[in-house]
Amino acid sequence: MTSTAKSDRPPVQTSPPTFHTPWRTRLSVERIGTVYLWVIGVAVFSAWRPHIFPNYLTVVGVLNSVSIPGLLALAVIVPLAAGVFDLSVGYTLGLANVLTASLLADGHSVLAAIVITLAVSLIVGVVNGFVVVVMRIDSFIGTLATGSLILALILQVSGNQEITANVTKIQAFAGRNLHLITWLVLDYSVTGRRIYATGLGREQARLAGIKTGKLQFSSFLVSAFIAGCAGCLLTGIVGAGSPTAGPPYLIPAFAAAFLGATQLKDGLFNSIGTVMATLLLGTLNVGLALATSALWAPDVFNGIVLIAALGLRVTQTSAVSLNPLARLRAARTVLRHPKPPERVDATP
Amino acid sequence: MSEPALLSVTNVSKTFSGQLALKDVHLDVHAGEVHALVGQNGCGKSTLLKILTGYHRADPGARALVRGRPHSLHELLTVVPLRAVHQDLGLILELNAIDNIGFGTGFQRSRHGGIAWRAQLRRTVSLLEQLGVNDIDPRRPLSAATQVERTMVAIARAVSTWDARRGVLILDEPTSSLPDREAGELARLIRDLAKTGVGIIYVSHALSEVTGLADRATVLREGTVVDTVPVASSSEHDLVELMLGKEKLAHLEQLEVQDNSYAHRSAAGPRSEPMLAASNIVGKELRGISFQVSGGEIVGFAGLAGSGHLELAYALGGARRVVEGAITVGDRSLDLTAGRPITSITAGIALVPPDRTREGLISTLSVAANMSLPSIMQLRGRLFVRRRQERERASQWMTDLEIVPHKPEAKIATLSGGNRQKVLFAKWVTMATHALVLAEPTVGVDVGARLQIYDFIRQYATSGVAVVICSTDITDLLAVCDRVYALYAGHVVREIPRDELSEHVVLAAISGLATPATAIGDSPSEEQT
Repeated sequence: MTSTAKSDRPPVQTSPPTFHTPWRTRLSVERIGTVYLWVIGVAVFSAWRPHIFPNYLTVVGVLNSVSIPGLLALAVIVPLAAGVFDLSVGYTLGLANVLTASLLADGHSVLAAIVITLAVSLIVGVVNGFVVVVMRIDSFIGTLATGSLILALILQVSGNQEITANVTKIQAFAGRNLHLITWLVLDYSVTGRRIYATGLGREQARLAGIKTGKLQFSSFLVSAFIAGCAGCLLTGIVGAGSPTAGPPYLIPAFAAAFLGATQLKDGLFNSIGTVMATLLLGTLNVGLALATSALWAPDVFNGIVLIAALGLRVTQTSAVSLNPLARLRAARTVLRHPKPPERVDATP
Repeated sequence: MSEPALLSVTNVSKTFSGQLALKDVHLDVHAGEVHALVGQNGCGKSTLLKILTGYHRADPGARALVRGRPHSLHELLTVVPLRAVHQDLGLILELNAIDNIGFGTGFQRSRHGGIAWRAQLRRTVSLLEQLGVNDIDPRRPLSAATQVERTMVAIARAVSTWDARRGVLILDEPTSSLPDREAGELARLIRDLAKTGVGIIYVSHALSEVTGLADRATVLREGTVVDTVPVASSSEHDLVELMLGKEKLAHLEQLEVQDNSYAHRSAAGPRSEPMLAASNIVGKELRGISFQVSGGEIVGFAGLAGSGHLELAYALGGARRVVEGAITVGDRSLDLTAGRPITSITAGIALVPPDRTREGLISTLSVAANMSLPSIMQLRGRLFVRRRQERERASQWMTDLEIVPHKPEAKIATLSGGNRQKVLFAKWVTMATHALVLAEPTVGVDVGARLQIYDFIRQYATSGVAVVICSTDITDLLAVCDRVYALYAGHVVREIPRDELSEHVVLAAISGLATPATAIGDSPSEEQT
């Protein structure tokens, strides 16, 4: 492309653009609010329960408690980034949990149990993809329905009983690595770009030659695979498979995913933000449990966080900022530089 | 006239945040008259309709006379009474005529509080019969009805609350989605309705319909009434002249001063073999379109809404299925029957879609990310996207196209319409190795950016790419095109070479008016077989 050599317009004065985000923006509350909330939370609980909260055991407890929700949150952000919901991940987690346990109880090797379980999880992903992408059923309802089917399978495998597995120990083999891979793929790869484009503007992405259906289908495979991994891990931690273990993880996973989306990449579902959100939620949940022993506290907390995160996300992704500070700033700018009212002379 | 007008409004002005949209408009409608309201896009037609129907309130000073008596302008709906049928009809197609009419007028109740279906059915049938529609089954969902039948149901619903007193009916572009024969049928029904004493305000782009149907026409231009003329005694030529105006022509001539003819541009001599050719394309709204574009040539497709010029752009970009027809790019033939954009993109055809917000750019992503969306594979390193290169390329485009503010990481949502359009160009131009298809390239773009875009299109054509511009705005076509194909109802009605190109000729051709150059019958209804 030749530049505008022929035109007689004067060249525009453009300062060389800077590509660096200033530190003030990087550390702003809007970007990494969870970190500040986390610091405040730790301070509050330390002051409230100085003898039991700030110690090594709590740290271990938090890290243990976030491993499963963290993975499941990762499982939901991939479809969410591609613009579809996967509400069946909780059930997939449960299925993987009882399936590994029952395979181990039957005397299969750990490796065989994991491989079979992950293969079954992938089949779940295929079914989800078929229902949503091929049959064009709304993902919200579609994956709710497949979740019900998975629940039936869970009951079939477990006989509605807890299965004790003689687990030799399943390492937290994948947790960190899966986060790392998801982060690299979503943030840096061509595929990640295409996933985000599909999620944010399906028609725009389609016209740009992106195979949006294939990407959404694959995102279901990924989410089912990660949920399967989480299920295997759960069996390793608990040493048993329970038919009721999986579904309760769904809401915390979505809470972490949506809260994570408000972090770092304003409004985009992202891996690191999700990790930060998971750690915050885990810390505050453990703190609440230590401080109050109220059984209902975690559920109330997760529900409130999910609503708050969704509300925040609306303000971030809408064109008009609902942030009162930003509005005030905008109003001030307008007041300082009022536009002269333009009049169109429409007389012929 | 001896009898006072059914409705007469005067001094109607409307200001939107400092911009005068209407100035001292007057309009009067008599009982039994079909009164056409014509004018180009943005002339204030829709604002006037919205004031009449009470959606906007006119600036103080506007007056209305209903049957000779003064009334407030926002009482018209009840006093006249005035009803409007909008372009999209507002019907629920999954439901039948009884329900759709019932939602407008309320349902008759049985003694037990349920709906008296028999009475409701009788009423629906009689309403439709009064309008001359006998062959519609009121119990079948409207999705099974023809477009004319749907329009008549919408009209029936609009007038169903009129008892003995007849009022004013506004029809907004009622034929925009109709094939010619059905449009003729609708025109006959509308004439019949007018004979019963209804005053009809008929808004349309298609001048050919207006001349066949209306008694009088009020022409709006830039928010003012140019004239109200009896249709019978004024030629189509007069109406076109009234719609255009002198200043705009002057502005256009100024644009044309710049020598941008094809011969001038390709100094090496014009390439004779076509870069992009199509024969007999059939698809949605397209009924057999053939054309050829050489490399370096800029060819326009003019048309009104529904004429197929936008669908042609979509078809070329692979965004819509093509049912039939052969398309060749360079020396390769292209199969677009699957309707997959990637087919066109790999063949080197880039489509700049008409709707920037929903089809073009993703407003929550950055300028750089939007620009590199189709061309991302060019930026791929061994594993990851080369972000530095991406930003530098975006930055280079922003300099070339003068996009402000010069920030590749800024979100699209923060940019103005003109700048967004430039980003959209940059996004697609890298992919257009053979042909660049631009659909409505200057919608919502201010004059300054518009001239830059024209300049850019001309520059770009010198690289030997075939450029196709599909636009409703004739200014675009006059400014840059070497040749213009005029489309009407899915057909090419006329091919206009550069030296015959004028707004007058184009407007006449796309309005379906017969021109000596083409052998088309007088009325559009005879054109179809």
